[in-house]
Amino acid sequence: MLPDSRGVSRRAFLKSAVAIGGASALAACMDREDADVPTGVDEPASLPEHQHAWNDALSRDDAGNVVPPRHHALVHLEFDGEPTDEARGTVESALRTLERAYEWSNNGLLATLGYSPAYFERFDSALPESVHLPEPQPLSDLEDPALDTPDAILHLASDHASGVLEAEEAMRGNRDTANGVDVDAALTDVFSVADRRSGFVGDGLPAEHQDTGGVPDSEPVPEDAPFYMGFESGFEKSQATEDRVTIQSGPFAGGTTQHVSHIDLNLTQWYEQDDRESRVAQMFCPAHADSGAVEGTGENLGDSPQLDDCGDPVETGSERGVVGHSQKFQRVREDGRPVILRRDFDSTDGGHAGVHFLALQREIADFERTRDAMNATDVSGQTPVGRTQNNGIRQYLSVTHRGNYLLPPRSNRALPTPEGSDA
Amino acid sequence: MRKPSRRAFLAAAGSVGLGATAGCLGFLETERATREPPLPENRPDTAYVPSHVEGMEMAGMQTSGRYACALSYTFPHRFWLVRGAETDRVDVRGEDDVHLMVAVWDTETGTVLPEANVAIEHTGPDGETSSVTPWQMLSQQMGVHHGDNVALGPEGNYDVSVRVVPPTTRRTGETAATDPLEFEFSFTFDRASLDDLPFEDIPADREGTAGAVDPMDMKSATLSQAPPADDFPIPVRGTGETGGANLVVGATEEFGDLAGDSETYVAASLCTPHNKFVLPSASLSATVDAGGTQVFDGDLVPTLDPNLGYHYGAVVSSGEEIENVTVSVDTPPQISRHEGYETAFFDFSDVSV
Repeated sequence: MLPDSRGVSRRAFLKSAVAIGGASALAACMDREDADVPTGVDEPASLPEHQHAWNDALSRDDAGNVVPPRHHALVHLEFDGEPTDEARGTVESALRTLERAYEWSNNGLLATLGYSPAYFERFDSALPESVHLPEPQPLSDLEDPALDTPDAILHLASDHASGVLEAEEAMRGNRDTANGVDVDAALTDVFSVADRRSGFVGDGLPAEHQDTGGVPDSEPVPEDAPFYMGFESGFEKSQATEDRVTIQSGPFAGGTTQHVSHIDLNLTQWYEQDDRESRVAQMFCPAHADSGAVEGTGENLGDSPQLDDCGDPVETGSERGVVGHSQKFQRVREDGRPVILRRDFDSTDGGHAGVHFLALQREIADFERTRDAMNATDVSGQTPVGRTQNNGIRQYLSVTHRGNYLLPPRSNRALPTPEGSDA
Repeated sequence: MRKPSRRAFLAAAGSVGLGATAGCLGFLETERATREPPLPENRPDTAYVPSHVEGMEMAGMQTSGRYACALSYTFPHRFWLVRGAETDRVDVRGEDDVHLMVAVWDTETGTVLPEANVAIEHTGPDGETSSVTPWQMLSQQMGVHHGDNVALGPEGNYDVSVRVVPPTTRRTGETAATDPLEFEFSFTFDRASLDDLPFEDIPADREGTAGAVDPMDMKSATLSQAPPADDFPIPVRGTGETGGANLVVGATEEFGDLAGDSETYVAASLCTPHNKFVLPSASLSATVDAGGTQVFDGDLVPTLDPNLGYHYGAVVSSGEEIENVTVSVDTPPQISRHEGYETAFFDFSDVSV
């Protein structure tokens, strides 16, 4: 749990049900949502082998951008037992319960179960070279994050808050049924819960949750913004493909790696000191601010942030004293696309506006070099751009947690050994 | 004589009646008076005497290794963010309680570190913790520092933790550790005593005229002043005025670890005209002629030196006598400005010495 003001402050009452969690939140939520959630399938073979194959199960907007599920929970799990066949059977049975209970879609439930380097330490053998999964570490000397080391992490996502909450309660062993389907096993039959985090993404949700720390009282978050910072971010062309982030060989072929950080946002400066032109220059690039390319939240940009006119970050930094976040991000690309697939969402965890920055990539090194490009030490070293100030959006972000995980392929997701098999 | 306080100023302003508050309706609507005198009219495009000067309270000064950090605060006031040659005025918000300021310097060299990264976390009497990443700023009273207007919470004791990452600015001598440092302070936030801080409303015939108010007596802290031309640590080639700033250009054949045999170090010190505060985070370049040919055409790199302080320098590969140095300021100092500096240091022309 992030530092929390649960149940005491006025703000606690304004938190979303998913942020509060538990049976009472679920009850309140089900009354309110009254959602008709489609059930899933009995045979997991009909589901994609990649746990992270979400895009085909999600809807797309008119421009072709994937629309992420609106509600999310991340459950940190500790595993204290032995990875026996029986324990594996329990984990598999628990996850199959979710697959039977909910359609594999934003309207039902999307879920992944990942394992940390700490989990794999219990085995005599090391992970194969085909998996790059280092311990989490600070990725700049300007940050001082807590390093998350649960054994496993369950990510639950749905357009229905009640779906996320009910699935979580079922996996915690607190329900006999989920979406009307019998719960055969709970993850807490073999794991214990170490922490839970929650969040949301999508038009209107950040504005609904802006009465929290880090956001000024003037309610500046645009009504239609999918993220607290007020702009679109999930442009199809600024995302890696699912194939690009999928491990290609070895026992975990078909899996991927997941980096999850939590970032506190300081939006007072962003909304009350910077003007819109500065925000566009810092989020996209100064050329976009000049040309007025970004209307509102940037939906007009279509399926690409259209950064071709932004220029080289070092040149821009020299000439303009500011460089854009997207402009820097643009530099780490292969075949014209980034190498990480962002599935980040906003949060009020800890009573503060934040982002759970969840990114998938073939190896954690892909994330680290992308992050290094955002540090942009070449820009701050050669131009008047500071290491945080006028350097994309770094001024407004403070990384509080980092964790790295392996998402095995679906067939291998229950307490895998480093060899990937049920050795 | 005791200086007039802000309380006295606010009381006087209030007694004038509604006429004086035209354009300041926010003042009438908020319980806390955050009003400043209006900006002087017809501000010149140079350093100018601001509408008022204000006292400040030092919360403390701490050292860690070779670095020192001072935390001080005063009432919130307007300032200007700078990006390229554009300024973006930041007005005081009703909820702003104080203007927090952090100064960081190297105790071994006595140099202020403009490019340090600073993050402030404060915890109030209600146990609520908030953080702010202050802007790099320039003020006539304090010189280069990091500051921002901050909304605190209830009155009472505040514990403040300042995380400083020393800058990677090039150094002429030994390298210095850049490991992050934490400095701990505490201060009592009390609106009544804040209103008792000295406050001087500068008369209309003086405000807005070219000039600057005097730097504050910083006691234990160091001001970010450049060495004067007549006491420059290396031979001076010439001086100039550009963009409302003073530029001193020096050259010396051997210089620290940077310039050796058959090399010349060219240093440009760019500072404010009256208080001689260094102007950091600009882009400077130069061409250098020696022996009848151009021997250098490139960037001047921000550099820290115990004697020169923060300056812009380059090593020129020529032992021959320099005939001409032409310095250009390609990007203005990208540092936020307090009142009196927001119109200056933007429109530079080349200086040849």
